[in-house]
Amino acid sequence: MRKYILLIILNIIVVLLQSSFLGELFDYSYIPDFVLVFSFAFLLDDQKELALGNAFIGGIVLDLLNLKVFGVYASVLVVLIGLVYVLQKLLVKTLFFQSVMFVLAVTIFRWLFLQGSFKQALIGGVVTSLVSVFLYFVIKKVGNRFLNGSYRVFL
Amino acid sequence: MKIFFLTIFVLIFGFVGLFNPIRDGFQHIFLPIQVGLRRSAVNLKDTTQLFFNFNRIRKDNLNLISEIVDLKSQLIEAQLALEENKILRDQLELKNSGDFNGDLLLASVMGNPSDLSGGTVYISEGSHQGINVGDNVVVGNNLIGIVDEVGGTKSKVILTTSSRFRAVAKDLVTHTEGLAVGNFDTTVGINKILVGDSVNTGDVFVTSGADGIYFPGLIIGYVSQVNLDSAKPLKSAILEVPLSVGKLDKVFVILNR
Repeated sequence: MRKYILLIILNIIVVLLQSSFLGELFDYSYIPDFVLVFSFAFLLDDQKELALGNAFIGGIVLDLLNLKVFGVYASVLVVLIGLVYVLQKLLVKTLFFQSVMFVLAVTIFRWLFLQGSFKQALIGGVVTSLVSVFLYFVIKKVGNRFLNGSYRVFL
Repeated sequence: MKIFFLTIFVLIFGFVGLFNPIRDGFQHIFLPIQVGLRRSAVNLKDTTQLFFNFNRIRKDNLNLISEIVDLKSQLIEAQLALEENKILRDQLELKNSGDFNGDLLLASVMGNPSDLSGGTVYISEGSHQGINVGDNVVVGNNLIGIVDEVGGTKSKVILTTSSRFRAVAKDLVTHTEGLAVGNFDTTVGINKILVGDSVNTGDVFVTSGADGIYFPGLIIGYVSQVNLDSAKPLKSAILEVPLSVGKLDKVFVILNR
């Protein structure tokens, strides 16, 4: 449960930063989708539950901050993460293949929800994928210990 | 699998607007934060752009300064060209009037720092432009001097006021002849005037051409003083030159081809 509370706080922060701060500061194409970044990183780390949970929570936060039909973001994100998970399970599970699937997933997500060219969506996909791979290595180093409560004394 | 059902559940209830009050409350809380974040981003962006623009503004400023210097330089060149055109036009009119033959060459006066007496000057043209020793140097119809030495790109001119200047001169009114000699690099003296010949103050002395060195009719100066010593068989006069070489920028050389 503590993990999910942390994810809720984390997603609220990153979605706010992404939509209101980074989106204004830089070209939106080059900003990764942080909800997907965390979900992909968890997928790479073989934490399916966390990946789907993060996609759902992040989607809900996006739904709360946007005016589309409530649940649309959450549904699309959960379906995309679910699809990526199934595909990587059925096909081959290498970092490169997973990264390619992440790129495709983000491109589809951006293409569906953001007004912009396919090229911009693709750039966003590549950036998101790269950041998730980086985050995966960070999680691998410290994240698991953090989520397992090794740093509980600091919380 | 639970999460998929949960998502479908949320979506269905989302369609009927069940979560709208929650969304409104959430947005009510987070909208000020979003506005603040956006404002911070805009400010940061503006500051960054300003920081980067400093360099551009500095470059623009330097370019403008450079352009101003260029334009000033062009303006000065245009003014010089205008003056030069006027001099050329005047000289051309004079040449067409038939006062003297020979091609005219415009030259700039450079002065002569090595001649403290001021009796000679350098001009900016030389043998490459066709100047020879003995060429007359004039401005308008006024004799300035004679070319004494010629280099490739510059020449030395003996001025009429130089003590080395000698020319046969005649009074334009009385036709009295005498020898014009440079006088201490300040004035020109007319020597060897016969006592019976008439010379008056204010008369104009011009080159007679009898010496075969100077074109006839070039103005040497105006009589400012007549010296008559009864003990001497000849009298003399002092001329004031009409043009001060120190104030001249351009002169013409009459080329003897």
